[in-house]
Amino acid sequence: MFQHGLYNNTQLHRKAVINTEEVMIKKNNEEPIIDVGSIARLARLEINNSSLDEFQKDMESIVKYVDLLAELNLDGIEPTAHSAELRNIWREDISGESFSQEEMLKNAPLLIEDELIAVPQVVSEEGSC
Amino acid sequence: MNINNTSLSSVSELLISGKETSLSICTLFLERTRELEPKVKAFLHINEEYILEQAAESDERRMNANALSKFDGVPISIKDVINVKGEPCTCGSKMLKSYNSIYDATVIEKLRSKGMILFGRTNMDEFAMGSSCENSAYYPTNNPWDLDRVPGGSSGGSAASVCCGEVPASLGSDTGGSVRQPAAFCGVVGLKPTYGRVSRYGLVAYASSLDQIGPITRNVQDSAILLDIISGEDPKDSTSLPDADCCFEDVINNAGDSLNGIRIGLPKEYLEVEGLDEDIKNSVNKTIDKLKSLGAELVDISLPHTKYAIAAYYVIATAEASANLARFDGIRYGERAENINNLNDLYCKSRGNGFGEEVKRRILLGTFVLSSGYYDAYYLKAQKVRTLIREDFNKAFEKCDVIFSPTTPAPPFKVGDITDPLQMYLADIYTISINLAGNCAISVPADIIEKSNLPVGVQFMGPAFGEDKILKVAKIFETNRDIKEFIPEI
Repeated sequence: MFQHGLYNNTQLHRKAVINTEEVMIKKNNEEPIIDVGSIARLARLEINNSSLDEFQKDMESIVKYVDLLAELNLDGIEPTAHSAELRNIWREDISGESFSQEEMLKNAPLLIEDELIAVPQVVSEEGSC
Repeated sequence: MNINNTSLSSVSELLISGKETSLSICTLFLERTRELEPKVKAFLHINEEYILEQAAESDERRMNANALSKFDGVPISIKDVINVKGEPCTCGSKMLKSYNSIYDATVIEKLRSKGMILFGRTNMDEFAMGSSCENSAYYPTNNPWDLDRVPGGSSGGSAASVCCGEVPASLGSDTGGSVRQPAAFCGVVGLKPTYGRVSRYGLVAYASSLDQIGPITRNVQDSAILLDIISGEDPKDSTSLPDADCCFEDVINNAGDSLNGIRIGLPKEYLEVEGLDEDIKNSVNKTIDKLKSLGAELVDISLPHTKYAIAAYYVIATAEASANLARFDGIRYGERAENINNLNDLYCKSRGNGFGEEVKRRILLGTFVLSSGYYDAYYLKAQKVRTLIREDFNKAFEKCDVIFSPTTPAPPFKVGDITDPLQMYLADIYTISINLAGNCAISVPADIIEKSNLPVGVQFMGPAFGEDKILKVAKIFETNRDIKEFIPEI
């Protein structure tokens, strides 16, 4: 049904790797500043040019506040990812009731032939975000 | 029936005695809601037909002696972040403006199994991110004590709906104080259960390792009743934990009237801080005197890493949020941008259109702290600080049974008064550590500030699975506090 196009694997891979320099801009002899535009691209989040400065200002002040954590000596402290004591949950692999296709598609904003979720072209030149 | 002061338990008694039917009760609450909503705006959706339909079914069950529980027919409002089959679930966001739930959250199944009436969806800060309800994409909710002030957040609609008697009880969610802070601002009771006590299945995730659903009620007894109903291990949430069959309603009934033998910890980092409002300080001191006069042993304790809690929280919570909110892609549900030719643009524009400012801010911060090269400096560091905060509590609970503090550093502020996001975050100073540690805490109204006529809430914090302890202390304090009733004039 679907025809797989050829694509440049290396190029896609390069884009997917998050590069340190991408989220910070460093000018000569200055403290690096956060590059909100790059972070927004990583988060697949469009930010209007008009509000970019405001986000920039907020992010800088929040990150400056969060830098408070740097004054602690955390050598040898184990990180806590979760407060509950997590354990593996085993269960028999028995199939149960699930949602129908109709229910699952009910909230999809755009369908094709009432049963396929519509997705625009997947492989293309980088978008404008 | 005095509708502006009607508790869940008193509605239950009226139904059992046959003095009222669910239909008559729900009709009264609907009339009250119609009258007050133009001013308070606690609700996002109310489906009157659906409410009356549920009430009629409940009455039929009761008439045939088939009532599902004592609480069959009692209405409850639900924060718009918890899925109720067939109802909208907008999370206060434009992103989910046209979303309709296809399933019930586990807590909703549990309420239905007791016959409770699902009475409308309450307003909230978008995706539970905020402390004032001003971040709702629809409209802010106003505090019934002073309509120019905020009701708190993010469960501000839930707290306001209980406070002004539109419903006897509500369910909210608490990630960094979102049940307790609005409860304090509105003069009602708010409980954040131990992480894992209540199933999160069907709760739209903000920060999965911190989120818990909790009751907002008129009194401590109702809080215990609702906790009994909603708690328990759930195969659909593998972080829900098994608990002993504790009946919290019994804890309340057997609470007695004395705090003899109970050690209450007073953390100096919470009580001796700059920036604690004078009126709050005054109410806190009165409450401490009261606790002492009731027989409690007051113990000075220290939670030395309190200073770092907000910083650690905003790293961890936003990191988890940036991952959780990645699901809003414009494809399977939610806002979808139009006239888009490629997938990347569809993601970016749909998310740009659907999310409000605070949500964007937190996604950006979360993406930043998780990005390669900054993970160790922020996210890993914050997780280590989380360990220290947990250890602070563990050590403190060796010396005391519950810990006491104010719920908020200041009374409810005016709508529009706090515009700097960081200042807004700092308002969560007393509630956030409990979520990081995974412990439980309850906010109880303690006082009314004379000059401003605004309520003050105090908080009792307990160890993990220590709800019996905090409910008992909260109940005894509630029975003996100087001000008996917290009813706004509206």
